[in-house]
Amino acid sequence: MATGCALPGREPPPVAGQAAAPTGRPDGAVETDPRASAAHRLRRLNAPAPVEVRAADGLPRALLLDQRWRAVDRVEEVWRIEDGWWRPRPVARTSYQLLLEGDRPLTVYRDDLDDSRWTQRD
Amino acid sequence: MDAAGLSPYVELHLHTNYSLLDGASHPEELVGRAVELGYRALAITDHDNLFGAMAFARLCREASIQPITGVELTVAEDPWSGPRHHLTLLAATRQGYGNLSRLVSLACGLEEPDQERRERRRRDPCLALAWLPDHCPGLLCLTGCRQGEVPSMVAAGRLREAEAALRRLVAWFGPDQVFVELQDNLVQGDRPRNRALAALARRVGVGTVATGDVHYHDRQRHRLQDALVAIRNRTTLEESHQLRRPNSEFHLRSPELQARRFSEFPGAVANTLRIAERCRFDLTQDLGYRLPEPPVPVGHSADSWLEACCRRELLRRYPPSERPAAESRLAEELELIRRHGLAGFFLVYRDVLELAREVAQEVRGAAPRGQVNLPPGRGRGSSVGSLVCYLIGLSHIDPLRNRLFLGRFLNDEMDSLPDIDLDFPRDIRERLIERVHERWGPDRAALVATIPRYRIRSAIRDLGLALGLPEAELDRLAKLSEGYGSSRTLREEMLRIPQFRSLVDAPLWKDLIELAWEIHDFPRHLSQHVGGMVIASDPLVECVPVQPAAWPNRYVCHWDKDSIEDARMVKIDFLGLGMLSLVEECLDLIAEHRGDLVDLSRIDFQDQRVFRRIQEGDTVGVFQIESRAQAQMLPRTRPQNLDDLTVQVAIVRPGPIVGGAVNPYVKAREALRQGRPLPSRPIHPCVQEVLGETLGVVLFQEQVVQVAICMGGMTPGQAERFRRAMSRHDWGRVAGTYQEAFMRGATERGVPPRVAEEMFRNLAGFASFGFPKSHAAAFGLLAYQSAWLKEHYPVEFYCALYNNWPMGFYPPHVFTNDAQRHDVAVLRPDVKVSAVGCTVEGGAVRIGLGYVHGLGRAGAEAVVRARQEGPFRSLFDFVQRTGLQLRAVENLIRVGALDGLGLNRRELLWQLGLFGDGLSQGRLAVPPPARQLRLPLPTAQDQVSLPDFDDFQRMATDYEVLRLSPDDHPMRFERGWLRALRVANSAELREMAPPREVETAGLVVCRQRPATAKGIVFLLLEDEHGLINVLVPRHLYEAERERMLVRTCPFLRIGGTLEGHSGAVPMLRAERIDPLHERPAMHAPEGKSWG
Repeated sequence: MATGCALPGREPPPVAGQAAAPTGRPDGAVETDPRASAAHRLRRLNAPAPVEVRAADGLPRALLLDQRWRAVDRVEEVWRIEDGWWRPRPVARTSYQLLLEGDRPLTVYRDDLDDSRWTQRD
Repeated sequence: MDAAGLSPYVELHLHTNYSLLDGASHPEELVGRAVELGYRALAITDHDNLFGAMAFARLCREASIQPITGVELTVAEDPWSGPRHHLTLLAATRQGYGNLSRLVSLACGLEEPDQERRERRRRDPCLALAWLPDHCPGLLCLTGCRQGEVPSMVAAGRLREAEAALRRLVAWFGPDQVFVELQDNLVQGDRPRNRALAALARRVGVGTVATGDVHYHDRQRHRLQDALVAIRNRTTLEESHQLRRPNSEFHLRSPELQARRFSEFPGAVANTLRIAERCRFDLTQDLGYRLPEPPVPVGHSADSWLEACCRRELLRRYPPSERPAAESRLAEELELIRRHGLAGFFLVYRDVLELAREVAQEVRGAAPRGQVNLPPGRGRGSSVGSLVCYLIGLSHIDPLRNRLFLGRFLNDEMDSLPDIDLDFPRDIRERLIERVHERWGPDRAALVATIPRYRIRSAIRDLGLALGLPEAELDRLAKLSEGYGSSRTLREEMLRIPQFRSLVDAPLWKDLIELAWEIHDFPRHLSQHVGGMVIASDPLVECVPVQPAAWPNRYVCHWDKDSIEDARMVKIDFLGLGMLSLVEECLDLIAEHRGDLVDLSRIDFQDQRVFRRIQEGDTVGVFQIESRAQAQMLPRTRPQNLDDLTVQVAIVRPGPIVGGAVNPYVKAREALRQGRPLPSRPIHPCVQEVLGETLGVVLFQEQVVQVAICMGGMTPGQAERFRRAMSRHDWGRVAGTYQEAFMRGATERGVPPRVAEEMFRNLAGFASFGFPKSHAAAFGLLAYQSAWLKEHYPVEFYCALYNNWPMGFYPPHVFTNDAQRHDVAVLRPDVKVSAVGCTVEGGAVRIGLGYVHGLGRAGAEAVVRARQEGPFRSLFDFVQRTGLQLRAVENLIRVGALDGLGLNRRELLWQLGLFGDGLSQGRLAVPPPARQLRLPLPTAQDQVSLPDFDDFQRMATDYEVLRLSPDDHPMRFERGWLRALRVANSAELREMAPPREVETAGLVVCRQRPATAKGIVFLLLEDEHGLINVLVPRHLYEAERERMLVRTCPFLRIGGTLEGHSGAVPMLRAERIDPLHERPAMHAPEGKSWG
């Protein structure tokens, strides 16, 4: 994704954290064929997992991880990705890079289309 | 807002849609949104240009927002190969603005030494950083967006290099002039980068500043911005993920929201206000452009010298009986000129005209036209109404004898410079523009810009491809849509076309419709105005950026005519007028072939033979009155003198048409001629004097001004501003204000509201373009002169018409048939006698070799050169001596230019085929005539006897290769079967009395769908006997639209009602349209499509 003002005719370098290509599933995961054998079935690495979040002022304050609420010490960064608005299922996410209690970093994103929350390892 | 109600933040980094194919909002939209959000100041920082800077500044001023002028420059150590970065520069002072303008000019290639490098920079601006140190004073430097050198290095973790880059900027600009730019658009990496940038700024000792990198006024516009990025990179949205911005956060946010977003950096927010405070330069007021000051003799001021020049000429031009009136008018004009300080302006024009005289002398040389009192050019436009212009040679029309109104050109309250437009023959104009560049230099003279904008077809093609829609479908939709219509009508257009009707709510097509709505009127690229130039006494490049034009050795400035007008700069229009070129050539031909030296200023201007032709609408090729609409109207208005021609030239214009003035005028004129009472209601007494000569309707721009004064109660200055406002791009925005003022004034004068409303509608029609009377008088005179030449010297006239085409309304095959109808034979090209251009040969016109497709001027010259060495003895001799390409020789054979070599066309083609191996890739394998062909000559046994082309093949080939046929008309070959079906030809239609149901057929020579005609299409058909006017009603056009018959089919069969005759041209209302053949039997002859 370009992020600055465009330089005509030149491609800016890719930026980490760009949106995954859409697949029709809300989490962007790759569809698999249920008839394929388990050994040959496609499996997405680092697939996002749903997460329960308590928020205040629009920012995450605590997350339910391993059935335990963990407080957010600091929101390091917030960024948004909107893409594919011309497709049947566009992408709109707000991501939060968090520092949880005990200095554990974690990225959480909100799917802005259905207000679901997901986490994904960095 | 703070306690004082002031916003806490000012936006200093903002792109309008003049950041071409990047910014996604009009300046109007951005300024409007800024007003809603409570901004007190706003900067414009478009990419590498100031195209929109003046309009933006004006809009800001009107909205009581402080405008800040800046630019985001693309810079590089080595602009030819090195990495590129962005740098934001803001003009704090007038000096800073001058530097900014110069830097932009340099980035666009102004001082590149050779044409190739200039062209590369023009297309791809980039400033070598080495230029920067000398142009820093008065500028504030912001380190740029994420692609700035400092931010991108910081983001990449190259902190030491980032610091060095920042320290270098500080060394150039000074520590107080450099600010590290922080941007937060919720892009991943923004916050850590901003923290690192803030730390770097502290270390180096410079301030930080928050900016929004605004690309559109409203969040929703991010979709269009994405599409623009795809268009710019010639790719699709799907394929441009890496190039597009990641989200919709690049909109204009409220000052409060921005202040909160940067709460971690309060100093960066506060600095936006400090910077705005320092940027006091206001483009609308502080430009300080000075009119050029031409030298005057010792003891004279500009005023006294201008007066002396005028008085001397007045005594020469006016007899004693007419002098008092002339003296009085001159005194009035000189007083206005003195009051507005315009004497220098007029003297500059006088200088330019002197230059034009020199150029004309060089161009005309010893040719006869150089000896017959021809001025180098002619004035047009409102300046023709000025006596001063007449006396110093800018105009050739006497404003007193023609009763021309001055106030449109010069008045007491004018707040912009008057327009002076000059027409020149094309050859003189080309040289003159070069001479003006030489005389003033590229830094003091430049062409005015024009900025083509998105219309429906361009929007369909560009946006559709970006969306990944099928190209063939887009092409079809674009062709079926109205070419110059607004892109906002796309949904309406699709609903009208059956094939596309079901797609209006389909995925992607729906997006196309929405995006097309948004892209309406977006600028696409910079182009040059048809002839406008600006010149300055100080370096122009410090007033407005100047860059190389696409045309070598020409330079174009970054402002269009509206911005030039706002800047109060002198714009001189040097317009090339094909008809003046034609007239000049015609005079030479007459002198050469008849021995007559014709002085067109002394011909009989009451020649009834000439007026009879005009009244019959027999005007193909005649200046300004040849069009289908004119030819149709002339038999009704029946002009009898030059005054009538002045009206005739002005009447078929969008202004009078939209204003509803045409029919009332024509009917009134017919009534007068037939001694009937006038059909329209009486003219209101307050405008009786103004509108009396045009029978109660507004036909001229001067009348707009006069009616606004007499009926609307405006002062002359207000009225002229009203007229000017109508001609501007943003008339729709201000029209209501003017209407209210007009209606108020009319009420005070006791004008009934209905009359006032009708009159305002008539006036407002002129937003769609109309002529000043002065201009119409100048053009009317040229119309008469061209008609006179056609009447008295038809052979020379047609010959010059061929040689100066393209011009006027018709393709060459139409004036070929017209020439034959006027007993002027047209002869096919012949390599034994034809020149490069067309020539007069006895009582006929010989088509020049330059008309043969594929030969080109160089090929035609090669033939003429080779012929000078002796006659061509054979095809082989011809091929060897001319060295022409195979295709060119083939075309010459096909149109009979080599008929004189003793073989028929097929045999010649056969023989040419025998040379095939001796020609390599269409060119002779060895350069002629130095060596022989390498392969053996064709031998007698290789030559065969073949039948020649038949008549149809000859005609069809003529149309394909020459765009005309000297011998035949395609409709003659259809006549047999058409007659059997009772399809009438034009001659038979002429004999019929209307109304009558008829069927006819013909070659479409012209298609018109004027914006003013409510969807009606006008076709002009031609057959072997003449022309036929066809009106295609809107419903029929729409019904046939999908077959594209009306728009593209060259031969049509039309059923309908014969409604009347316009002179010799029958008029039909179409009810059925069919193609003459399902599959064309010949190459489609050229037709002209308008609107």
